[in-house]
Amino acid sequence: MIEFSHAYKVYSGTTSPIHALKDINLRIEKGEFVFLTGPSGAGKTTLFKLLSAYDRPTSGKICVSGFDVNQMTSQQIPYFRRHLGVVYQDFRLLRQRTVFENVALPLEIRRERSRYIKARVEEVLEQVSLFHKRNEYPNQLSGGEQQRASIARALIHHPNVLLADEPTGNLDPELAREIVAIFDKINAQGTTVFIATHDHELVKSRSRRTIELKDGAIV
Amino acid sequence: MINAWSHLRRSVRFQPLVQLTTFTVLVASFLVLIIAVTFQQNFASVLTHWGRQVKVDVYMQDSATDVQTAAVKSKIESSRLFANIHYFTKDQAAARFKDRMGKYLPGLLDDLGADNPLPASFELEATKGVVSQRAYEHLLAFARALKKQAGVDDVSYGQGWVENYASALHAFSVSVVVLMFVLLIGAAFVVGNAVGNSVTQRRDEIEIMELFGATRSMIIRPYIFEGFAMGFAAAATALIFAHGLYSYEYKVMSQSLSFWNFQSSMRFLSAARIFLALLSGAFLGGLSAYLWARKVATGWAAAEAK
Repeated sequence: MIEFSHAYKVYSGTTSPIHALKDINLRIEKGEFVFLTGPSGAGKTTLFKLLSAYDRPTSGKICVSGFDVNQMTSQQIPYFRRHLGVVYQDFRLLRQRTVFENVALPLEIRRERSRYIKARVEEVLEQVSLFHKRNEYPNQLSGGEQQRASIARALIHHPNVLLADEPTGNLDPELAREIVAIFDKINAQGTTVFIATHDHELVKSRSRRTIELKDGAIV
Repeated sequence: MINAWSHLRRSVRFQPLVQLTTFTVLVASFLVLIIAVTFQQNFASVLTHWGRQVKVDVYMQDSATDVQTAAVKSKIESSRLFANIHYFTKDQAAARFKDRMGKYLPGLLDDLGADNPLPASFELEATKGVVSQRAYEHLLAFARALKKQAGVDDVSYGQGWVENYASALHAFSVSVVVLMFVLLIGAAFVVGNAVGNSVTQRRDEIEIMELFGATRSMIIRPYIFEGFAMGFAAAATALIFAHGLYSYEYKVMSQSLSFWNFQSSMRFLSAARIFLALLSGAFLGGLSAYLWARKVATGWAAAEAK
């Protein structure tokens, strides 16, 4: 389902190159629930960016859901991204769209029927307890609410893989547990869930596979 | 599907300042172009009005025979350059002269019949006037040829005036082409940048659309529609302003310069030109938006933003 083979990511720094990821080798099977942990700057976000074709690796091979991320043509990238559900650390909500419209975006992109979109969006908004905020704009929501809207958008199209970068970072512990419970539910339905977090309590509370990154390498 | 109308509505609602600035720049650019076209059209029309008043006089020698006079007339008629051809004999010329000048010089003209110095002549009016460099060159060539005709003493077409007028017309035509070209390039550049600025300011929108799997055409299409709509609206607004300015100018011309009768030659843009202006505005807006959105929506916009 997810495979990294000798993957590197190097950014050009002002004085010398920055090795954000070094020789990453990992394999996550279909239906797994995996935590990615590590301190800030360890490379968690970079790894997620490569996984979601947000950015390209400098070298090495990355395969996700049968797609070879390095070999994909620019025409294939959008279709690959539609297989994923991604929760970004900075939410990445469209400020000109209401909560409903933001959550509906992946289905609109897939050209689903408006009746289906409405029903599905309402269902997911109920799941993340945001139904009552469906007509509000992102700037009218709290950080936690924006995070939940972002999660709803990531789940809306039943993705094969759900990637979440610090999904509970802005939430209080009770809400964080609720969110992880949603991820559990999604995982139980067969979706591969891969969560980056530095919340050790959260990781400890779940007996799930954990991958730890430090200075851009798996430890 | 990403609805283009919704996209346009959101752009206006959430970025009123950017949209208003872009729209204003577009209106100003189109207004300059429309005024230039209207001015060119009307100035050419005024010059044409003057050019139509060119008259040619062909003076015959006193010794010219009837056969030579008939040959000259035939040559003039066959040229098809002249609409009204009037022949005045020496006596008719003297009679006209007396009629016009007699009251000022009564005694002097009494003996004109006995020793008449006025030549017989043809008075010609150019069919289409001298409204282009080509028409001027035709007239010049014909006058030279006619001067060599047996029995012809001289040909006068107000040489100095017509030559200056023809030079002015030629210079004006060339200048207008150059000016229009420069203005068009300038307007395209300004419009392109204004629309581009509006697109770039919404780069985050493009990034998010890409990250959720929108194809390039899905992303670009609403921007093209927005550029198209804005270009059309700006061209329409510029046309309204230009018409207002034209109406004001027409009123001023009618009141202050009525003796030159400029207003009879003045026209606003024709329906075809108005349609062309609207279409060009829409096309320019749409094309600029396409080029800029295409530049941002590479498939890796989010990564390239860093």
